[in-house]
Amino acid sequence: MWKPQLKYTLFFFFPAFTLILLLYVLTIWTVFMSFTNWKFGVRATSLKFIGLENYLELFKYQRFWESFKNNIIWLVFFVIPTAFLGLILAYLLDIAPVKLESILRPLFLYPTALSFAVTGVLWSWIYDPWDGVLNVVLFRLGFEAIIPWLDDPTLAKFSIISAAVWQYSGFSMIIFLAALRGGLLKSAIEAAKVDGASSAQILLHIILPNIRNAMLVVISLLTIFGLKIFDLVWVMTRGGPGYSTEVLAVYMYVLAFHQDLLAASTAVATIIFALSSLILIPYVHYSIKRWFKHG
Amino acid sequence: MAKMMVNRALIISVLVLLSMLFLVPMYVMVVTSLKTPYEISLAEYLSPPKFPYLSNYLKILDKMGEALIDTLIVSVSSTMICIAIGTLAGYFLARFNLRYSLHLSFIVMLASFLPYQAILIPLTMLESWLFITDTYLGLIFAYVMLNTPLSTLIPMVFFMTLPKELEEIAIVDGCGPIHTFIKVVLPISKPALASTAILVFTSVWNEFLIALTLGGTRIRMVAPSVAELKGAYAAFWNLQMAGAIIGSLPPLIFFITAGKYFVKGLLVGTMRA
Amino acid sequence: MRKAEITIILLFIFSLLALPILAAQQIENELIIYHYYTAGGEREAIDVYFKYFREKYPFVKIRENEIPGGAAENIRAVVMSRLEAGNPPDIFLDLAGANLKRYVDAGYLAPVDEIWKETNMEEHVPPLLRKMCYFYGHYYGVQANNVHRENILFYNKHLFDDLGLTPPRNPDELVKVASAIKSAKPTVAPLVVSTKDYWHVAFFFDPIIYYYGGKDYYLRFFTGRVNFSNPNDVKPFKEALNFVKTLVEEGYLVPSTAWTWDMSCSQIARGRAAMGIYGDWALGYFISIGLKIDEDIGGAPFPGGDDEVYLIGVDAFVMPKGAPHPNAAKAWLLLMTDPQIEYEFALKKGSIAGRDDAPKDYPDSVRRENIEFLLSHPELVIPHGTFMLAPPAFLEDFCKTIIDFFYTKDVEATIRSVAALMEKHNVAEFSSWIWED
Repeated sequence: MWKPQLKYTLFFFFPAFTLILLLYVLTIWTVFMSFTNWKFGVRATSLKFIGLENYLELFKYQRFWESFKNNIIWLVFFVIPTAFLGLILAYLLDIAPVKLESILRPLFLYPTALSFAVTGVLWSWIYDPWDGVLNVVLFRLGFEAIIPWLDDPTLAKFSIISAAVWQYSGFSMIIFLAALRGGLLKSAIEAAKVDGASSAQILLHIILPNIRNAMLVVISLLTIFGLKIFDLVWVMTRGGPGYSTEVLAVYMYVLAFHQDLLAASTAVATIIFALSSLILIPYVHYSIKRWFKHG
Repeated sequence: MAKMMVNRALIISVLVLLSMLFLVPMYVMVVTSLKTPYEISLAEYLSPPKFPYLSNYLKILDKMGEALIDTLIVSVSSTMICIAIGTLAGYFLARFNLRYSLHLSFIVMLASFLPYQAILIPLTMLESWLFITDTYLGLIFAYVMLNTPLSTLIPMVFFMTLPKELEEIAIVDGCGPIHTFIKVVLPISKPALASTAILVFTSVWNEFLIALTLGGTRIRMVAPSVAELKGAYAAFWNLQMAGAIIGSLPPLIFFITAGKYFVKGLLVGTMRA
Repeated sequence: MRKAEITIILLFIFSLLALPILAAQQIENELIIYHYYTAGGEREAIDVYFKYFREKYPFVKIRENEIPGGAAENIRAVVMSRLEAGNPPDIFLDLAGANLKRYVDAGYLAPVDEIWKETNMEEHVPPLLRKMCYFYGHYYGVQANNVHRENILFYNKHLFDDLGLTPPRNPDELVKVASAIKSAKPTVAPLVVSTKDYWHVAFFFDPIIYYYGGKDYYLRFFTGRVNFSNPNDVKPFKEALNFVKTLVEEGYLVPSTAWTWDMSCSQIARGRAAMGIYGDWALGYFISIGLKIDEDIGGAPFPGGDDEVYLIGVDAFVMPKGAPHPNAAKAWLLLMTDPQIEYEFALKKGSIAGRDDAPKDYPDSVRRENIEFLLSHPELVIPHGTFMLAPPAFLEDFCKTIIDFFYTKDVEATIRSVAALMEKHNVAEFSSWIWED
C-alpha cells in the first residue's frame, strides 16, 4: 500500500528492528558457542572451535532423545487442544450476553496471569496421589486404585500437558476474541446479513478467513512455546520421574547450570532453534500463500 | 425450536464444566492462602480454613510491597514500549510494499525461537558491558528486546487482514502513512493491541530468572518474591499462595481493564459510499 | 626555603601514593551478597549475621539478592551468569565441597587463607569439614556454619509408641520395623521419599551405601575410586541396591513425584507415613507446623548404634575474584568465623555450629545428640557423598538413575549405568582433592 521511503522506514521499522538485531546477536553468539569447547571459566583465549563434536556427543545419549521425543508429544497434545479450547472459549464468550461475558472472560483468563511456578504447585496438589482433588473425588466415587498422575512415567507427561493447556487456553482465547471482535468483522457480518447472506455463507467467507489468521498466530505461538517449555515441567516434576517428563529446554538448563557443560547446553538451544524453524517456516509460508490466494 | 433448546442446553453444560475447571484451582489457591502452617500440613486441599488467617496477607504486603511497585514500573514501561514499537513495525511489514516483507517477517519470527535461558549468559555479558545491570533500564531493555518479536507479529497479522478500504479512503483524502496509521488503523485495532499488551505484561510480570540475574539487588520483582516465601529449608505454602494471589492481581486487573477493548470491537466511523 | 618546599612536595607526593594503599585497606560502603536463605528459620538465621555486621560496620549498605530455590536450583544460574559476564557480587552462597570446587576450577574464587589463619579455624573444625573449603593448598570461602547432619531418620513418634517400635538403626531393623508397620496398619506407608526433589533420594540412599561398605568404601565410591570391573569392589553397592529392591517390592518404600521433600514430611507428620530420612533441616519444618520434637516426631541417626556416622552437609559463603567491594566481603567472612555468632545462627536455623569452641546448648535432643557425636567422633564426621564429594553434575544423574531403579528394579543395569556415570562425569579426577592433603 505504501512506498517504503526512508523516513517512514526509520519511523515505523527501525526501533523494533534494532532490538531484533540485538536479539540475533545474542542468538548467533549462542549458536556459535555450540561449536566450541566453552566451559565454565574457559577464557576467551583458550576457546577452541571443535565443530560438531558437541552435537555428536549429545546424540549419543538416550536422555537427549527422550527429551526430544517429549517435545514432539508436547507439540501434538498441547498445541492442538489449547488452540481449539481457546477457539471454543472465544466463541462461547462471543455469543454470551454481555454481563455473563464480563464475568467469564477474567475467569478463563486468570490462569494466564499466574506464573508457571504457581500453576505448577497448584496442579501438583491437584495430582497429589493421596490428597489431591482428583484422587479424592475418584475415591469418593468408589474408585479403588490410586492413580499415579505424576508418578507413572507415561501418565506424568500428559498430566503436565493438561496443566499447560489449562493455563494457556486463555491466551489462545484472547487472540481469537480479538479476531472475532476486531477490525471490521462485525460490520462486515452485519453488511452481509443486510445483503441477504446465509449463516453458512457468513461463516465460510467472512468468519473463517479471519479466524484463520488468528489460528496461524495461535498455532505458531503455541508451537514456539511448546518447544521452549521449561518452567512448568521444572516445577511439577523437575523432568522426573527419572527423565521421563524431561523436555529439551529442561535438559538445556540442566546441562548449563547443573552439569557445567555450557557448550552442550548451547547445542541443545541451537537444536531447539532449528526445530522451530523447520516446523514453523513451512507452516507459516504455506498459510500466507494460501491467504493471498483467497484474497 | 427443540434444536435450539438442545443447543442451549449443550452450550450451558459446556460452560458450566469449563467454569468448574477454572474455578476449582482458584478456590484451592484462595483457601490455602488463608490457612495456618499447621492447616497446610494437613494437606486437605479442598477444606476451607477454620478461620481466615489474614495475617498471611499482611505479611505478604509487608514483604512484597516494594516488589509490587518495582515490578509495576518495569512491566508497564516494557509493555508500553513494546506496544509502541511493535505496532509500528507490524504496520510496516503489513502495509508497506517491500519486496522482502515476507522475509523480514520470518526474520522477526525466528528471533523468538530461542528459549531465553539460553541467552541468559550472553545477555548478562551484554548488559555488563553497557553498565546497565541492576538497573531499571537494564531490566526494561531485556524484556522489551525479548518481547519485540511477539509485539510485532500479532499486530502485523491483524493488520494484514484488515480490509484496505478505510486506508484507501484516507489516501484519497491525502493522508500520509503516519497519519493514516494513527487516525484510521489504530482505533479499530484495539482488540489486537489489547491482546498483545496482555501477553507482554503477563510475561514480564511473571518473569523470574532475568529478574534475579539482572535485577536482584536493587530491583525486586514479584515472581522471585513469591518464590522466596517458600525458602530453601522451610515450606510455607500458605504464604506462597497469598503472595501468588496478590502477585497475580495486577495482571488480572490489567486484563479486566484491557477487556473493555474487546467488548466494543466495532469500527469507528462509517464506510462512505 | 628550598628545602622546606622540597619537603612539602615530597610529603605531598608520598601521601598521594599512600592514598591508594590506605584506600585499599578501607572497608567500602557496600556489600553485595547473593544467598538463598529466604524464609522461615533460615531467614532469621541470616538476619543474625546481618545484625552483627551492621553493628560493627554501620556505614556499609548491605545489598542482598535473595534467590529462592535453595542450593540446587536457581542460584547457580544467576551466579554463573554474573561470573561469566565478569560482573560478580561480593559474596555468594553455595554448598561447600564439590560445588565450591567447580568455582575454584573455573578460576573465579579468591583464596581466603588469612581469614582461616586469623581465627585458628583449622584447629576447631573436624578434618573432613575443613576439607570442604580447602583446594589446591588454599582455603576458599568460609562455611556458613550450618553444619547439617544429613542422615537422620525422622519418624512419627505416636505411631511408633502405639506399635511399641524403636527407630531402626540399620537396614535389617528397618525391614523389620517396616514389616511390622505394614501388617498392623496397611494404609500407612512405612518409608517415603520425594522424587520431585530428586536430591532427596541421595539422603535415602547414601546412608545405605555407608552401612554396607563402611567409611573407606563410602569415600571411595563417591570419589570415583570404586573398581566396577572387580565384583568384590562392587559388592557393597550391589547389596545396597538389593536392599532397596526389597523395600520397593514389599511396598515398604513409597516414592512420589508429586511431593517436594516437605510434602513427604507432612505425610509423616500426619501419620500417613511412618518414616523418612532427611537432614536435620527437616526439624525446621516440623517445628514450623507446630509439632514437638521428641513428642510427636522423633529423629535418630541412620545408620545408628554401632554403625553410627555423621554425614555432613555444609554451605559456604565465598568471595569471587574481582569482587566490587573486597574488603567488605572479607569483613563479612571474618564475622562468620566467630564462635558465638555461629552458635546464634545455628540456633535459628536448626543446624549446629561447626566450630568446637562454640556454645553447645541446643534445645532439642536431636541436635544435642548431634553435637555430642560431632565432638566425640570427629573421624566419623564425613561429608555427604552425593552432595559434597561427587561433582555436582553427578548428583542429578545418580539420583535419577536410582529413581529409575525404583521402577525397573534391574540391579545389573543400574550398576552399569552408575559405572558409566562415573566415567562420564570424571568423578575420579574431580573428587581426588579429598584424598590429597
